[in-house]
Amino acid sequence: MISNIMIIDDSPIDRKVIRKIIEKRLADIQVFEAEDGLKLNESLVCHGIHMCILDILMPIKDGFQVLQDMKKDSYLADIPVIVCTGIEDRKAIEQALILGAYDYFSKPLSEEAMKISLPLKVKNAIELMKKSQGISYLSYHDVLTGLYNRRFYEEEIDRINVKKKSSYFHYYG
Amino acid sequence: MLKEVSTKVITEECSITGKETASSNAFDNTVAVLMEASGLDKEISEELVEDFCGQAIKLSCTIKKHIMGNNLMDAGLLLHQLKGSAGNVRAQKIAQYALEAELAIGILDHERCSGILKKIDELLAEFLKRTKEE
Repeated sequence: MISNIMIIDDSPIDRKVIRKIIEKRLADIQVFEAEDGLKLNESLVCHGIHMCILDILMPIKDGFQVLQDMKKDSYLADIPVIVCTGIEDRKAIEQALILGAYDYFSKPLSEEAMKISLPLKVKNAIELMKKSQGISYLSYHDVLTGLYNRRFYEEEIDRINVKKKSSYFHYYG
Repeated sequence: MLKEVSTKVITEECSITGKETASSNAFDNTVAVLMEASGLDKEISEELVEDFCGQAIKLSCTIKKHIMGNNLMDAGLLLHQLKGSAGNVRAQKIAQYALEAELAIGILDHERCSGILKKIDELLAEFLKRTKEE
């Protein structure tokens, strides 16, 4: 099964380096790229992204804002995000982890990161997301029929209410 | 004064078109170091360093324009990008100069920054030189 990952970085060279490293070491990977965090949420949903690699220091919308937006969106909150930033920027790493980042790596990429840790972190993040999707499927579907269950509809109604800032729907029973 | 220096550097810098295929000794050395560090094959490593050269030339031009326009925040962001990309493709000298330029921007030393950018341009020209000779 193909795994989809998204690299969000304003530097085309950095995106390409990361892409080549991952494609060399992991099989069945489809890589998508974004040069900024604008309109990212729709893109993550429509490409069925399993994990993201996110640069922190970007113009227009920085990595922290992107991460916060993802965590607020119930469809995206579970996607593991690996953040990258300058090697000296420990505060940024700490802040990203506080905001819910899955892991981090520093730029420029060390030999160890390129050959070992980055591909393995990506692989582990994908596996985590797939397990999470499996659990999510079981909790929102009826085992016998495969149809959505009551919990799914209740949470979906809550989501619609929050989105429309209304409470048109009421639960009975 | 700053404007004069910057204009001169921009004119010189933008004369590097980036259309030449990068293949100098500096280029080959960088490719070799990148291959060793990343485990990527030669073809991909060459492609990455070539792409870096093209991108770095554009970045250098834009950084100078930002400095001329006194837009130091954007200039700093692009220098940071240049530093990171140079480090990733193992263009170590360029990464070092980009770091120095970033520090110079931080203390508002425009002239020093422009001087360092000129050195970066010279290094990029070195990367692109040998093919021209061929």
